[in-house]
Amino acid sequence: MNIKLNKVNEIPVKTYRWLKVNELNLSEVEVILDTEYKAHTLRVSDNDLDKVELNRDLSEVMDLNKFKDVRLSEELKDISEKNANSKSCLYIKADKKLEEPIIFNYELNNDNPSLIDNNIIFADKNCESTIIFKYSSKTNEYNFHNCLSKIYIAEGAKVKLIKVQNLNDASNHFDLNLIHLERDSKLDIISVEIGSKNSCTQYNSVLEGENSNCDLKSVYYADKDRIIDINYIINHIARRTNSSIDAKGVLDNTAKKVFRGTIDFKKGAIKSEAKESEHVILLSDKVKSDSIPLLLCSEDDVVGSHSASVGKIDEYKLFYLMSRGFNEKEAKKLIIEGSFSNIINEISDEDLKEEIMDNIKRRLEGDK
Amino acid sequence: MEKRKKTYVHDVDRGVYDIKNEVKFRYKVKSGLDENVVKDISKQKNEPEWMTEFRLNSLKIYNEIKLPEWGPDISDLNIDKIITYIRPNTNMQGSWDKVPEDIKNTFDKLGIQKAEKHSLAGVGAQYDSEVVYHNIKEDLIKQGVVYTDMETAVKEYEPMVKEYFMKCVEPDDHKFAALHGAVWSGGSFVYVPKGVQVDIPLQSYFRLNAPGAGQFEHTLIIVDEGAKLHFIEGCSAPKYSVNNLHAGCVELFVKKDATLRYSTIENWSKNMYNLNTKRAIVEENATIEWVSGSFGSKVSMLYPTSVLKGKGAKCEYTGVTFAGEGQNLDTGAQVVHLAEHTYSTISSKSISKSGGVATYRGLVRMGKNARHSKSTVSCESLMLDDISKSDTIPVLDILNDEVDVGHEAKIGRISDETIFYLMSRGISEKEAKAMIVRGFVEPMSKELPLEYAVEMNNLINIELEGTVG
Amino acid sequence: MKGDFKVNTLLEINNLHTKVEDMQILKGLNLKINEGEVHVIMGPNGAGKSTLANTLMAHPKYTITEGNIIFEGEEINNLKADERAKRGIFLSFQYPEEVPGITVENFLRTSKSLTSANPISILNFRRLLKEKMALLKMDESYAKRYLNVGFSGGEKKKNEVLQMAILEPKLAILDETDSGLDVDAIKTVSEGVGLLSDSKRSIIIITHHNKILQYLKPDYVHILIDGKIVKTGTSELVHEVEKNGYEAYKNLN
Repeated sequence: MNIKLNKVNEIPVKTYRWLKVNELNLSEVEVILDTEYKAHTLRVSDNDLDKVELNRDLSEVMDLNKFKDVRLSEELKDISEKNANSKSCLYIKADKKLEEPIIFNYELNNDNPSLIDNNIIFADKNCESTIIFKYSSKTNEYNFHNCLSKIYIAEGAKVKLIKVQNLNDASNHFDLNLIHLERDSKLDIISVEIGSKNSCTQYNSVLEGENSNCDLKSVYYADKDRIIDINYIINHIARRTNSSIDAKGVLDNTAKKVFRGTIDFKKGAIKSEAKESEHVILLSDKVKSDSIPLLLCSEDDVVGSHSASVGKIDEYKLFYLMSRGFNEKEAKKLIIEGSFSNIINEISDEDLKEEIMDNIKRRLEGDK
Repeated sequence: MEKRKKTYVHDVDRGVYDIKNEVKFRYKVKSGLDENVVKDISKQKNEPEWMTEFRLNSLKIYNEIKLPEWGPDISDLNIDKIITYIRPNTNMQGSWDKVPEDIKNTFDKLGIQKAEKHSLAGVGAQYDSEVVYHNIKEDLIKQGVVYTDMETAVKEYEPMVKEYFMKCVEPDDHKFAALHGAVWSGGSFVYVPKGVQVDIPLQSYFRLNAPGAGQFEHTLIIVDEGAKLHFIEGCSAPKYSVNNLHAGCVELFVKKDATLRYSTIENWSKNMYNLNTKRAIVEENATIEWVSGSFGSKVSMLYPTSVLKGKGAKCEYTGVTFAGEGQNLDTGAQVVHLAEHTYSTISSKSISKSGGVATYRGLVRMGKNARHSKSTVSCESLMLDDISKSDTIPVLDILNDEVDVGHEAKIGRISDETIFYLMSRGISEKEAKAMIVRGFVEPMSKELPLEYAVEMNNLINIELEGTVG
Repeated sequence: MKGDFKVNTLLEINNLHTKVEDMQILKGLNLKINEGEVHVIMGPNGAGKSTLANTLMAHPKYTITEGNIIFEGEEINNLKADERAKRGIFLSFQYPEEVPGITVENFLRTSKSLTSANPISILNFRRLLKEKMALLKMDESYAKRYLNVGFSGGEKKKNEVLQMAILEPKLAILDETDSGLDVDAIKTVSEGVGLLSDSKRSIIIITHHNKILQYLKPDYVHILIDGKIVKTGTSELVHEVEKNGYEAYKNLN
């Protein structure tokens, strides 16, 4: 079934209408609503099994309505609510430190062409954990993916959330992550978007507890006719909250990207600090890159900054590498890899890290 | 029916800017906007038929276009209550002696005559809907420079006006451009012939005196190939408890190798909706420089736009916005790079205080053909208290890879340590803050002729202290 | 109290207790400085040296919880920084602030006119500025630069001493003015400070180096440990500290 998606990833504060960057509108999106999803695997290390609960009713520990007003779009919200075919709950016990990452490995294939996953994660007080979400296609047929994750980081908890999306070139990927942070908690997000035809991602973090911290590092690589639509929103509510957004991207061929990154200092968020940066490398004259870094501020006692840079690869860097014997293509590859690697290196899972780097390298070499 | 909010106007003593004259007019239209009002304005002005048609067509567009979905709330603005045309009780004069006493005194107190004597090559002065005074130095006339009011230009330079009028900003651009097209009146027309360097600035000053009125002046400037001009625009109004509206339009044509600097110190009263449109088309190797200070008005939506159309065209924008109590100032630069090797530099500073909202809203677009082009944007916001608001909303829209675009923004307040440092040298806390604010806007003061820099500092002092500094 | 003052006492600090964000730093400090004297305050990191400097200059984050500061016979506890500056107290900052848009010259002229009783003409001011800059081996172009913006650490320190030389305070407090300077710069700065010291002006030098002391001869040396002055002596004390470190003085507290 094909439907129209309106006002996907709406920007928190609108700007000039004629630019058409306030939201994404997709006229024909094939949705697959009535299939089961059975390929889901969740890996928890044996050593960590007693530190988590997988089927606990989390509504008793967290207010699931907290984010009820946030959506990717009305239609996608509706699909999430009515047609979810994979539901996960993860409760990480208080004071527990997990030894290995918890891995949600979602593979889509011909038997499981559609994934509509609802995930709820509660990281209880002072726990420490790494959680990996991996979405990939094992088919060239069309896949539909619509994710809604609600993530609650309790007081003093430290969580690293790694999300890697590498669906096939025909697919649609919609990913909404709603995050709530309590006092003294810390969340590191690593987001890697390298696949699918349309990739729509939103991280919406609310720093509600004093001294909470959210760092978002993101890498995207869009070649061919991919569309990448990003909406990162960090709301500073409490005092002494810190955040950062650091995005690195490459656009090639006829790819299009809209990056919306919002830092919102609400009144009362005194002594908070946030910075945001996006660095985009363009490899083709047919790409389209939109960057809208928003800095909203209703509190004076804060420090906020953002920066964005868009352009081709630094000629001096290129020249330097070429003077050391690399040809232009090799040099470009090296620079892009370098630009990505400090973010990708944060991925603690060695196999996954290698898989991503290999994929990027292969595509940079033209073997797409 | 939705209840309209009561218009609230913040009360500060703005000294000379608040001089109110008794409203004497030769003619005024009824308030509100319809075909008859538009026809009436055109008839009063004795316009050629094409202009009447143009106005009526603009009105049609105005009625079709919706209000913007973004930006400040302007729902309190009721066009039915705005008097769109009010002709003062005088013709345009070439000598101040012939200008009615009260009008002359107002401009004198605003320092226009003094500036004309000392630092300007020509002056235009508009009072409500019409220009009451226009003069230009002899030597410039001899060189073929034209500086006159738009009404005169429509008649005396009809072919040129017809070629350029609202070709840069078309009526269907947005709702208030359409409104402007329908009811425009007054404003200045400048033509600088090829190669002529006008070294001393020209200034047009727009004064709105009548309560509940609108001002819709049209400024059309053509700087021909290799020529140079510095144009200064000033505006102010006394405050009233009813809304006034300013929807002017500035169209700048900067031809090959020409340079135009367009400086503005906007100081409307705090009952003014300032919904102004300014745009420049910049040809090969030409330069547009915007120096833009926004201090007044209740709501401002102002985004000076530069279309870099010719190879090697350049744009420099230096802007300062100061939003005090009761003000929502939404300003910023838009640059559209259309040709190769085009360059833009945007530097914006904003200050918000006492509940004021200052927003930087900008755009840099690198078109398909803008290869080897470069743009640098820097925005700094200073918040003077915790009840104000400051937002930065830039868009970088890039359509080709051979470009270099950078954007930087910072937000924060005056650090206690800096205040202490200055206080330790004997400077009071209040003066230390004022000094830091003045330092913050210094990049703009530096770009202005001295007397205008002084005026700007005075405006900052008014905002900082709530009184005339 | 007032009757006890001799005519030549400039500053008297009695039982001074200072808090910074709920941390008690100064815990009963006593110090008396007469006109024309040069005092050195030494002490390990965290002893309260900078706190003393900031308290004397009325930094808003430093709260006096007990004791008093008497300057020229009058308690100044409640005076703000600018009022203290007008009375003739000067602090050379350890980390001078950068103030964009305000030139060194404009700043100093404003400051000079606010802190001195007799007005100075622009011409005379420029002459004074030029002269003092030459003494400090500062390039004249610094006068037109924005206050401390883009200055190196050493340039900032020199600029502090320049300000002191122009403002001619009765009491100058040098907070680590010698740190971050190379040998030549220390000499220049010390000479600059030396020019100020006469029979009327007093100087407090806060340092943990002794290089500056090769050029400036102190009348008294105080050792500050854990918020109190634990020992006072002559310049001999500097050598003693050099040899033994501060450890030996800790039990004196």
